[in-house]
Amino acid sequence: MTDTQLIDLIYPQNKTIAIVGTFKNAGKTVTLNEIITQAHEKGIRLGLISTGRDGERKDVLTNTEKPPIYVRRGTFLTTVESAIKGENAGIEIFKVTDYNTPLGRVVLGRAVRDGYAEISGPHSSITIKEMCLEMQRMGAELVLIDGSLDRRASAAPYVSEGTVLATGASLARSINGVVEKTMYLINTYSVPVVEEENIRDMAYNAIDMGKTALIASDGSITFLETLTSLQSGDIISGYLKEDTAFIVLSGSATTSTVKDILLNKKGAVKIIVKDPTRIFIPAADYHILGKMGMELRTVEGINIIAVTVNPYSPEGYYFEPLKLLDAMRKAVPHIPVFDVIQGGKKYADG
Amino acid sequence: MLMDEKTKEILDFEGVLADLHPTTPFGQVLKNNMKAYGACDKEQLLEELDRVEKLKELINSQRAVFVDIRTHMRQIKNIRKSVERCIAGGVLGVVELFELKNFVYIVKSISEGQKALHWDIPDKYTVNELQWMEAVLDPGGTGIKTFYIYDDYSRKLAGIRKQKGLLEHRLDVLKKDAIKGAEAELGVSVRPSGEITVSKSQTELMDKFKENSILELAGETYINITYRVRPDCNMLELMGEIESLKGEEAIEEAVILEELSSKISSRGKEILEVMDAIGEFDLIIAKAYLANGYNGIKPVICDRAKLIIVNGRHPLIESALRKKGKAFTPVSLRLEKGVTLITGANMGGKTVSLKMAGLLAAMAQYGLLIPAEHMEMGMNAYIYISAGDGQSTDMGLSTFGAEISAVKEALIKSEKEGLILIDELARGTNPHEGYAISKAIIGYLADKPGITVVTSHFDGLAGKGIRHLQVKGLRNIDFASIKEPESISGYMDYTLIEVNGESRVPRDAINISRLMGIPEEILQQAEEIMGREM
Repeated sequence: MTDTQLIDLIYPQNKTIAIVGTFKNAGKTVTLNEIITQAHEKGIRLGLISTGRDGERKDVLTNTEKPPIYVRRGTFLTTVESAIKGENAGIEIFKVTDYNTPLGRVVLGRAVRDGYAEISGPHSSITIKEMCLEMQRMGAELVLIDGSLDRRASAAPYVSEGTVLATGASLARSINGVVEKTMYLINTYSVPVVEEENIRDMAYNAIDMGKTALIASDGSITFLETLTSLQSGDIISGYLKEDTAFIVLSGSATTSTVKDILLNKKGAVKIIVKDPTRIFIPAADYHILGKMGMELRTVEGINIIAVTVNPYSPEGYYFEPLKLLDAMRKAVPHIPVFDVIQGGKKYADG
Repeated sequence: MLMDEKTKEILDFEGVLADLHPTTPFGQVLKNNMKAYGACDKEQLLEELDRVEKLKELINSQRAVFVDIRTHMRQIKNIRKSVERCIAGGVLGVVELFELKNFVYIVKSISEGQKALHWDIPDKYTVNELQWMEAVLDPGGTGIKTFYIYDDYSRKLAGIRKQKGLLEHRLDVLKKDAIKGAEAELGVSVRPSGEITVSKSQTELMDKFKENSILELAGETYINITYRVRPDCNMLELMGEIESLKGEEAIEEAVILEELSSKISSRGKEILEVMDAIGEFDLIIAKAYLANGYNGIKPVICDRAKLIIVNGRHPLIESALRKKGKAFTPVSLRLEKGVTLITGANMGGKTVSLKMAGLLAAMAQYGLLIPAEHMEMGMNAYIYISAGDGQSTDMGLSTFGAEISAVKEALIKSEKEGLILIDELARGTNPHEGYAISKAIIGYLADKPGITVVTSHFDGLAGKGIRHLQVKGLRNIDFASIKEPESISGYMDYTLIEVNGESRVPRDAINISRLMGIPEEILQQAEEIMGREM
């Protein structure tokens, strides 16, 4: 009974966290419900917001039963107009926003009784951030962002302070496959923050201005005229010198940009992006580029608070829960891993 | 209709309206339906102009109040449809009631803002507080701006909820006891929900749970089973009662929504009136802000055909020039019934002056203040302009064909007092016939009740009964001193001066061509030809 609970790692260290799944049906919603339950037990006033079409009864793609979100009285939430009527949790409306979804406008409110609720939200990460702050102003102590898969940006440090990564059997057919693919994501998310504080400030300013820049070893900075860093490797390559120490990409790090840089570099260079969500390099390329000498850095890092595993796949296969849990724990010894489906050790066998 | 679409387009009247920014959806609708005051609505136009002028003064003296009012107005959403649906007997949903409640508070703030203004507000603009609706939506007088079907709405609802709360609490206590009991008996911990999940591989545990009457099966997946602490008969009875109370609550909530809707419906007209007043108030504020932008003045409206503009500025060209760091040279015009002919140098601003006259007249008749030092005009039944551009190609007509077909429209209208503006009459045909047609049209319009302004390069159009204005142009300028063609405008004197008697159109075309860089060889040739003719 001495086990640390997921919620202990989350709160009060963080005020806004994102729950991101590695794949469809990886167990994100179960994770979310578990955090909600634990927060309720601790008496933490929650705010809930989603970046996608979550909280619906059925998963649109695979048609599997999807657990909806069960909210407790007093929880602040972002929902949609059409979900407020009916038998769900009674919702006290605080604000009707101008953001439209196919299910009506996005509404900020508070649950006045326990019940199931449709959690919704806007798409843009800036707006999500605004609404998170709004819920905090309304009184939420901890805001949980239900990040949909294609909206990884909710994990960006700009939006949330920490991320819980939900992974599971649906990601691959074998335990090794699941562990490997999850490891890859964790590795990209864990790209280190640039060590030198002055370089970090320079890079931050360049990205803030939307500019790609080269920083030489003597600290001098050159701004390049690239519209975006996407496909801008060519242009950057032309400016690389022996003393170029850092390349700041204003946009994303893609395989082609990084490759161009590595092929043309004249000395050791580190490539800096805003945060790990700006890295778009497939696993296979990542390995090769690493061998070519790729050194990635970020201005702001992502804090992975924990990983949750789900041994079931809706495709009809499953892994031995304890084996998956152990394999994941061995693979990422520095990050706590929980099995929220089984409830971990705590509720399975006492 | 004051102007046809083509005239509006040539004058770029929409360009002026684009800078008119009402902040509420109601003001926006009024703006979209804005119409010019008719030739017989002089009194109403005067009233409107007085009010816009008054508002402009108020904005400058009580700016903070207006900033406050506009901030509140910006929060208004278009909920007219909800109110109309409600009046028609519809039941409002909770989101709609929330928006109405919000509206009540915004209206209150706007109304307070109005009271702070030093203005004797006409009824049309007076935003009345909706206190009765505040009482309906906030019966407890809590001042809470959120919305929910609160207990305050009915005693019955409060009673149901209280009872439900009590039972839920009792159930909770029993549940917790049961869980504690189960944990003690089974030696395992149970989730707060009362559930416990075991893997099917844990056969011993599974068998133990299966046989225990404290637990019941709650669910099963591929590899594990979830049991739930079985509720005893007291708990079951409580659960049943809670369920039935929930049903009663839902019914009572629906009844309350109906009651609220019917109360709002019975005085729904008043809400619509408030929306109308907000729209009117919003639009007139927007007009005043617009006038502030170009420092507009109230025109004098008189009874006979006349258009006097003293130091008028074209608001759109002025603002475009200002962005380039240049200033618009104001133009003064004095136009009377009959025909006025404007001649003058190329690039002398004849077209701009013509368009400015039309635009300022149109703005005045739409109840907008005027970018000028002084303006006097009579009511126009129409404003019509013909100005050269490539629009004729759309209609498959030649430049001349398009112009003549449009001038025909103006000739038909010319029996009433109005404004006809024709830029370079008959420019698209041979000078010989063009001159003849121009002379005849000018002669015809000279006796009509309206004002006609014609710009032309033809000599000899002016004559008896025709006023003749000329652009001062590049007179007394040493062309050799002008280096850059772009600087011509700096030397150009746009002033219009009245010419009496016969006067020839100024000869600046060759000089300007020279500045623009036409080869000297050609220009000398042209001068030679000119010399031969003269």
